[in-house]
Parts: sequence; C-alpha cells; structure tokens
Amino acid sequence: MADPDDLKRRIEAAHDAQKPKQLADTTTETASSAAAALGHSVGLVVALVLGAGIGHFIDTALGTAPLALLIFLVFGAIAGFLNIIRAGQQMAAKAAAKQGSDQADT
Amino acid sequence: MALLGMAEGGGIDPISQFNIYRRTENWAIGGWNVDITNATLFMFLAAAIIIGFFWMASNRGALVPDRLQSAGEISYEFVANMIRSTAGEDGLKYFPFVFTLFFFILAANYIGMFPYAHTTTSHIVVTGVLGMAVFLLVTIIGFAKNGAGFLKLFAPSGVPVFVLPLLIPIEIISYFARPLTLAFRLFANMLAGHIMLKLLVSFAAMMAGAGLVGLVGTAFTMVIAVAITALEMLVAFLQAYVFAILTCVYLSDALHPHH
Repeated sequence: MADPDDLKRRIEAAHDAQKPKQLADTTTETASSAAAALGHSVGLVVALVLGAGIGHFIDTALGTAPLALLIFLVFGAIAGFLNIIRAGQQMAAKAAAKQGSDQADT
Repeated sequence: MALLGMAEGGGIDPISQFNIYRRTENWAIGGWNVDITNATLFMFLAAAIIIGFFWMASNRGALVPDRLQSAGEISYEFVANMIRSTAGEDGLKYFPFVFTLFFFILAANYIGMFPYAHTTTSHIVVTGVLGMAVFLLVTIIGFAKNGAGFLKLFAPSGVPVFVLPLLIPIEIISYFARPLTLAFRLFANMLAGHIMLKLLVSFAAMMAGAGLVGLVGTAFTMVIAVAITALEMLVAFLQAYVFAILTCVYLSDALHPHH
C-alpha cells in the first residue's frame, strides 16, 4: 500500500500540472510585455508633437512667436518621458506585487 | 491588400491599396451622403463576423461547451481578466465597451490580412474616431464619478506648490496626448505593415523577370515576405490588445484618480 500522504502529494502535483490558469497568465504576460514594447514609443513622439502644436496655437493667437512654441515643446518632451517613466513604474509595481503573491502562495 | 503590387505603369505602388472608393451611387439621407465605400463595407463585415461568431458560440449555452462555445467563453474570460487586472472589479461595468472595441479592432486587423481585403484600421479617420470615443468616455466617467475631484489627476497631491505651474501643463499635455497616441499607434502600425508587405511582394515579382540571379532574389524576398506576414499576424493581435488594455488603464484613472 502506498502511503496516503504520498498519494495526496501526488494528486496535488497532478492538479498543479493541469492548472489552465497558469498558461493563461503567461500568455497575457508575454502579450503585455510585447504591448509595452510596441506601445510606449509612440507616446513619446505624440506628446512632443502635441506640445509643439499647443505652443504654435498660442503663438498665433497671442503673437508671441516663438516663445510659447519653445516652452510647450519642452513641456511636451517632459510629458512624453513622464508617460514612459510612469508606465515603467507601473510595470515594476505589478511585477513586485506578483512576486509577493507568488511567495505567499508557497 | 492585393497580392500583386504592380501598378499599371509597371512600377511599385504600395499606397493604392488604401484607396477608398464608393460602392454605391449617391445614396443620401436628409441631404447627407451615406454612400457605402469599401471602408464602410469592411467595417460592416468586421461587425457581422463578430456578431455571427458570438451568436453561434452562445446560442447553445451547453453546460459542457463544444469547441465554438469554448472559444467564445475564452474570449469573454480574456477581456474580463484584462479589465480586472488593470481597472479593478469596478471596471467590469465597462466590459461591453472594451469587449466591443477589442473585437472590432481585432476583426478589422485580421480581415486586412486577407489578399484583396481592405484594412479599415489603416486609416487615421477610423482609429481617430475609436481613440476619440475612448477619450470622451473616460473623461465623462471621470467627471461623473469624481466631479471636480477628477481634476486632481492634473495636480497630484503631495507635490510642492511651486512645481505645480510646471506640472499642470505637462499633465494636461499627457492627458490630451492619449487619444492621439491610441489612434496614431494603431494607424501607423497597420499602414506600415501593409506597405512593407506590398513592397516585398512586388519586389519579388519584379525580380522574377531578371534571370537566374533574379529568381534567387525572388525566393529570398518571398521567404522574408512570409516571415513578415507571420509578424503582421502577431501585430494585428497585439495592436488590438494594446488599444484595449490602454483603454482599461485610462478607465482605471477615471475610476480612481488619486493613487
């Protein structure tokens, strides 16, 4: 007769091996990393161009060329970088939270 | 995209695949032109495919699902998990919006991968409207849920007062960049991918007429074209995913602006 504890351990191992959730998690993770890689580069350019656009609009409205354009170009660049830094922080926080929950599981 | 990229003159014309032309003659409702173009046709097709698929997947409703029903359930779970993990449980109220958005873009992108099909998401006017819809929805939800407190998104608490004049314009720019980023990313990716495919395949076709060396070049270019097609299949999914997940992130901002 096999040891009942051993049998329990083997059943649990078999259950763990078939967990469909694990697979879904890794798929989503790969997809989000790829999404992040593709996604945040565009944000940098768009924020810069938007800043320049707002600056140009203010310049034509108030006749302050090229002062507002220059100022808002800098704002746009900072906004673009800020977006990327925030996205990075969020990813790091998520990774840390996941690591924490993994340790809590075991 | 048409398989052979040869223009009438014999040169390569990678842009004509994006041309929009009317399929009907001067249809009008109340003075407004409502002609069906190839773009509207393929948008209807995308919607019809999604509705058809989910209708077939859900009309049996068996306890033990068959393959089609499983596919439908997995699609549901995929989007639900995406919302839950980024916007939290209260984001699930907006499930229908994110679900529709994701599957419309996904279907439109994949339809575009068929030869002779029109890629509606390669037009900035289509992606722009989608981005605008997300932007308006998020802004309305933000103000409806938090009132004027939503403006705290632009002035985070705990920031020294003298930094605010610098920070507020930056935050406002980054807020208004959102719909543009959404629209531009999807549009640029689809456009660039289809132009690249067309160029590669036309190049292969042109080289085939240049003797033995040309044939080697054709074979090489075709191998690359096949690889790029596979990459475009991935991009088609990823761009739909990015669009949907960023919508969730923005929804999360609107629901919980201070964190």
